Amino acid sequence: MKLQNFTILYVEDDLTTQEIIKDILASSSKEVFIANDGEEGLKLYKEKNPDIVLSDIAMPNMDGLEMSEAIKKMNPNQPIALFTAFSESAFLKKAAELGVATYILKPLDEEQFFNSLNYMALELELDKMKSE
Amino acid sequence: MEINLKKISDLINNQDNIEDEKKFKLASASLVCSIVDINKLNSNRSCKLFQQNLNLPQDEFELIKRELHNDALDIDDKVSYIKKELNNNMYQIMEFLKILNKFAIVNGCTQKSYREFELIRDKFLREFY
Repeated sequence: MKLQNFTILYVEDDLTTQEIIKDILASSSKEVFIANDGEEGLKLYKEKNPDIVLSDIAMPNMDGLEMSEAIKKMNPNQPIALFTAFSESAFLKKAAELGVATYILKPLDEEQFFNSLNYMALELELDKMKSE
Repeated sequence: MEINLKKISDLINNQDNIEDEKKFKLASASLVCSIVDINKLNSNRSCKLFQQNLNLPQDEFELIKRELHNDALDIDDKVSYIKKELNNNMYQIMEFLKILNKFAIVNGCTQKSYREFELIRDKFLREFY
């Protein structure tokens, strides 16, 4: 699977959800970095420069949208996917304006989750091909 | 959000092998309309996106809208036709999907429109995953 070539930053404040998704990501990607909120996520992003960012939206300290905005300012092409129940319409409109184009529906459907990750991995591979 | 316009029309214009431009536009429009409610195309930003991305002047846009109301939507059939016209080229398919993605999120994402986009996306890409 192409996903195994890429590193992922996963940002989630709910520890139970975090544990489940961390296990899924660890077995399918090159490396996973975990953060508990947007502030920690942003710090880890600067340190690790991951290929893909996955984040919850509502989190303490800094939410997923604020973190995405900060990341997009540093790297407008950074692939980011947000977990959402599609109930945060104002957030989603803002996310789209920031250039966040991938969303993962909560509660999680594992097959759909992998399809979205694989789609992002394909985008990254094509971007790499274009820049070579 | 920066909208990279004319991508689909570029795909059409750069493809010598696309046999029937109108058929390709109609198939593309059908997929767009399974994501975005066609009845809202006159009143929101999707309308402009729709016309620009499919390179449709107003008269042709109105014609295709009428045809869409009569065209039975078989998503599998449309996906398979578009894939064939794009030579099953992953790069071009991804460009096409980026445009569909913009339609799904342009007015703020709804679960229904995004789910429909995912359904279509995965039909196009399953063999590449």
